[in-house]
Amino acid sequence: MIEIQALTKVFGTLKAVDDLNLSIPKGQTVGFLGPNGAGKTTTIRVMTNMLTATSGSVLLNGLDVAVDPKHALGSVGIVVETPEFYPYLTSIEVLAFLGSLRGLSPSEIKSRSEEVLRLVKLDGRMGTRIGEYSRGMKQRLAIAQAVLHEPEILILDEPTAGLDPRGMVEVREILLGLKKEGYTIFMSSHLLPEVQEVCDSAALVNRGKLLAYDSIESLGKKVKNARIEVTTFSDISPSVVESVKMLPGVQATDLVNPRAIVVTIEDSPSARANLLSSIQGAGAEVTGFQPLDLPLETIYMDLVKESR
Amino acid sequence: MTENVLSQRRLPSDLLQTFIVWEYESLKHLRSYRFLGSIAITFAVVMLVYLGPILTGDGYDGVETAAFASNFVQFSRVLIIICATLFGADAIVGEFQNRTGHTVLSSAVRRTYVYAGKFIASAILGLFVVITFYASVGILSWLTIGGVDDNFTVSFAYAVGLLLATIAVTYLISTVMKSTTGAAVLSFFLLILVLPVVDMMVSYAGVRPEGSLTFSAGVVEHVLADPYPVDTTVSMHGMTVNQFIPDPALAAVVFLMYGVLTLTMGVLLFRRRQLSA
Repeated sequence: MIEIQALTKVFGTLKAVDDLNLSIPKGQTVGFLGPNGAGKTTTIRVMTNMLTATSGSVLLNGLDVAVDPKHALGSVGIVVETPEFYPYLTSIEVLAFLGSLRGLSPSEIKSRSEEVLRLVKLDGRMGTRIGEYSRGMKQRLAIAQAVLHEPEILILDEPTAGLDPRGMVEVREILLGLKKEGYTIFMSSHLLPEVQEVCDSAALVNRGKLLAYDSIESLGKKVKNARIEVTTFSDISPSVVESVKMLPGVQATDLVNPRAIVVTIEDSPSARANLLSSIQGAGAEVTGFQPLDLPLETIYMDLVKESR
Repeated sequence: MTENVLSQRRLPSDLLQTFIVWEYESLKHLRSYRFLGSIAITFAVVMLVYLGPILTGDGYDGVETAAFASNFVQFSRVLIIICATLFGADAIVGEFQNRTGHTVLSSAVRRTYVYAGKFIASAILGLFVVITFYASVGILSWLTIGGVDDNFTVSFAYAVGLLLATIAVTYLISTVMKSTTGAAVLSFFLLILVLPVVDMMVSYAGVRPEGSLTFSAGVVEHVLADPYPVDTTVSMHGMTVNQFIPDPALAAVVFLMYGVLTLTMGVLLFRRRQLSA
């Protein structure tokens, strides 16, 4: 469905994408993760024919984007980072313009436009010109135009960037709905909880290089250490801290306040159980015991740190 | 997602996509009042030139059709440059600077046809303005002195050629520039000031500025004179000043060459331009 083969993009002396290989099967939702400047947006721009690759290729449904962009992108919906549309058009006109370019008939444009604007909750602003739209509204319109022609592939660059918390939740719900409908989705993000919630797999990149690509579940299993925050009813005594430090698998402790300690520990159920019983055994009344990071966040931080 | 919707849907032909781009590009100029503004400027120019002799008391008694038309047509070049700047200068660079191109150019449409659709929109709107100008002058000539000069339509034909070549040049500028303001300023001053000054300097040096778009543009006005004017040389304060007149056939070739070359270069550069910002 999506094949990225030995993709390299160089800007002057900077290698923004470095020999990237990715294969995304049909119906999968893949998160594309990396810190700022990792090469996520550059990769997406090469995939969508906005940039030309220095070497390598991108195949969408078997068609090379650089060789036949018209047909390769015919079954693709794209949401670019901070999307902009012609300010003199209304949302319904934007969809009519893009829909007709993609081969929708006038009747299809009418019915689909109403449908997708309802999906992104812009159906009440159909007649408003884009010039009057907020950034969040443009982001929703970008999602609407991406799914307008019912493409097989969706490529999304930071789809929740610039949205308020409510907007982010709504867009995430839309993405989950699209995932259920069977779209193949490739989305870049640096919001790890978002990727963990929406995606089946994640590809982690840094400095243009692929660090890991696996299912969210498998990536989670690679996590070696977890940070657990333990809160207590009364102040934590030095003896409790010392006893925790002595436990097998404990890497570090950090007394963040008199009634809360963060313990970095080998991530296994037995180590966690041992930690909890040990603290309680030392006389502390535990009121909270929870991991601070999601598994994906931990593996992401580990891999990015290792790649430096 | 309907499983077989895509397999049944065919992308429009390149020609149809050009038409779609043309339609929405035209809408831009209509809704931004650029088109109405240029029509208003046209009427203002025509009325001011027409009222000039009446207000100074000279009137139009005994004025020949060629002289009447020439009074107006000398302003057609400025009008054409204004049209080219308004309709062409931001057409391409705007897609990059305003980021609207990110959505359009990543759609299933070849860049060549986006360029073509935009150019046709600018050319047709510019043509409307030139037609309005010549039609107004023709009507006034007929009403005031009872006829229209025989070469008036030839002048119109050259004006259309000049318009298309000038818009093609502004499109090329728009393709290479980074800001809409820069493209508009460069297009306007290059065509109205810089190139005519270069023509003048070259003429002072005794060389005919053949191949210059702005020098060849003089044919739009000269063609109304009967007989067609010839090159002259005047001696002033010990200096020899040459006034060269463009050859009509060569001027047509210059318009054609500028149009074809700048359009080709523009399309090639647009296809290669990266949407990196």
